[in-house]
Amino acid sequence: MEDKVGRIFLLMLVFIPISLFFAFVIHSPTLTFIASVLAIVPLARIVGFSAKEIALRSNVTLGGFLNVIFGNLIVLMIAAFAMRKGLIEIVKAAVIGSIIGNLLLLIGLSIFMGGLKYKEQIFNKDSTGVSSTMLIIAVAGLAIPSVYALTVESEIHHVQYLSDSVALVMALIYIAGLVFAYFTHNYIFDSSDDIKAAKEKPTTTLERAVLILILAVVFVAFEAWLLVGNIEVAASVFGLREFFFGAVVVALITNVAEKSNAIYFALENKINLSIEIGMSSAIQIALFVVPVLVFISQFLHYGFLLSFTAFEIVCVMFPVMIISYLSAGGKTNWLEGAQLITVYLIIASAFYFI
Amino acid sequence: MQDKVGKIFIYMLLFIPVSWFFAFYLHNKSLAFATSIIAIVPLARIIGFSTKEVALQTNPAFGGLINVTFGNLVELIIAVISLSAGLIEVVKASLIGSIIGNLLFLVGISAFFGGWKYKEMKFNKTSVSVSSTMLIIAVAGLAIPSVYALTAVNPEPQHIQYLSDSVAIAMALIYIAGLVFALITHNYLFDATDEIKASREKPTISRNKALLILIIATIFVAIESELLVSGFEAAAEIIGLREVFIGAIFLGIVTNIAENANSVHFALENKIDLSIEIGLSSAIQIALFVVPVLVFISQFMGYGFLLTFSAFELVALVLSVIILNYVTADGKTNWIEGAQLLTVYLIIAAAFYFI
Repeated sequence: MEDKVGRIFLLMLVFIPISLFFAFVIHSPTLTFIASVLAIVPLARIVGFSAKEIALRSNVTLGGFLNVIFGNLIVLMIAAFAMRKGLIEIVKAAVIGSIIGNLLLLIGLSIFMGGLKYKEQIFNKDSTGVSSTMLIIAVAGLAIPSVYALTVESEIHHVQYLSDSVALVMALIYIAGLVFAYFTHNYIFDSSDDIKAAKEKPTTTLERAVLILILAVVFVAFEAWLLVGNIEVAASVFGLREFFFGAVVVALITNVAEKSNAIYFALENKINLSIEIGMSSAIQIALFVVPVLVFISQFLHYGFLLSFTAFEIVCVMFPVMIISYLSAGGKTNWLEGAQLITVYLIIASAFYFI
Repeated sequence: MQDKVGKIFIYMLLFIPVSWFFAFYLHNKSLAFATSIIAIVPLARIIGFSTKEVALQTNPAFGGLINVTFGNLVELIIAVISLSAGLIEVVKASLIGSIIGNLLFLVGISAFFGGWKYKEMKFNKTSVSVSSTMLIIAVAGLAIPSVYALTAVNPEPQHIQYLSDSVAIAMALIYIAGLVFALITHNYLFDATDEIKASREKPTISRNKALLILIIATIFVAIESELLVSGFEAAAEIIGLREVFIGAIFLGIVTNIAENANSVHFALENKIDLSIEIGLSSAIQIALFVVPVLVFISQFMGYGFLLTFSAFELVALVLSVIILNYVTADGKTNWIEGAQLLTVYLIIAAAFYFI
């Protein structure tokens, strides 16, 4: 099953030349946008695959580091390009949308599909417990500077300082979480299939993996550039507002789609892995991507601050509440999946009108 | 004990002619309001009884559906008549009030009185946890459109209407999914609770008789609700209470008085399971069934009922759900937990007084 999906992804590489054709021969921004989006999906998978191959041959520290960096490379690139174009609001929307999409749609679809096949699926409560605390910290980190900016009559300077210091703290606790998971308390996670999967044998040589990674990153950078360059025209052609576009379309395609293998794990009764993938992706976005964007923006003066709207904050709080409640149960059924998808639909329909 | 209570309820039916006397002969709207409220209490009980009788004589899945649909008939009738009279804010307040009343007052008073008799009461955590997740979904559904309406820079009314409609559809769908889960695919999870056992009782009257009683009682409820709603404003002025307070606290408790009595009764028999299940499922039904139905009815009739609650109502709702989830997470209750829930209810009620 995994193989068949892998083949479909490889076929999607065709969209790289197609996007070039649309961009430089036909000069159609909308078609270029669509083709570049479709080209990024398989590239994301290849980047992830080759980063894993390299990680398997290095020590745990470097391996974990590589996985985190390259797992989020595409989001980071798109966000950096978009910030340079001044599309700060789309970037914020994509951040919020990725967190919500991972927690509700990805985990929800996995639980729902898995639940149709198995009456009840059991997962490791200890590892999800650590992750759900991390998620609450992530929400606090996003919320506190935003609530400050919303409620206190403050100088923009202060918001900037607050934003920087909170980003620093978030990055530190994220590193602490990695130390916890890989060194001091790895036995909590050891039993989960996640680590077992990471202990696979490598399938290609190191040189080949590095070469593939470099090539894929170059292509990703190029496609991301095409995507961001045509995003505004595409949004207006589709008649969608920029916020919905960033939070639903961009977030789902660039971040959530590449993790669609979570659904296959659920169908193989490895719901633990599906939940871990969804939760850790959301945590990485909030505690790794967001601080990195704040730092980049600080150096290059893009003006990306941790000031989200009240509505965005509320929209992040509900998924985190529901996930932490659900992950305390230790088992899942199809209804819980349907509940998560329902909340996603409710939030997405509100995004539509923002 | 049940019988004695039953007899008191039957005597309360006398308030039906009394309310008519006040309304049509003396033309005293506030007295008609007061008596119609009292008349609705036994009628709600009769509707509940005859629904159960009808449900017992069909297959379990369909019976469960009938039970939940007609279990909220009284609330639904009062709400629709109030909406047609333009009392939109009162309806919203009474919906929030009955959700909070079910979660905090009903569960609280049951745990409190039960806790005086038994040191610790245990309940089935699994079925409660399905309900509590549903409750969070319900709150999300009520909150997201409201927060949108409150925070969007200048939202077009048309957008709030669309959002309200689509969220109502999503809520109705997940409610139906929950019924499918509880009645068909995972009914064994709930089988262990006494509720199903209780519904396996033998029916006491024939189905046609039960249906007839159901229809007659519904007609009377509609009439009494009409009197209640038309006397509402006059009564609020005389009592000196604000309409929102009467809607949220007064109507919220009175229309649920039969359920409250049942639930305390179960708690005194050490069946706190059942009390918690009554409170949780009533709250869920109001949020995920009554609210969407009101949105749809209002859409067709142009009543203007949208999923836009005030910030205060949302905060009260979220707090109640969080506290109830904490209290029920450990699978047992004692009297102090009941007292804690009641305290939160009183705090929220006090705030509603000044709204």
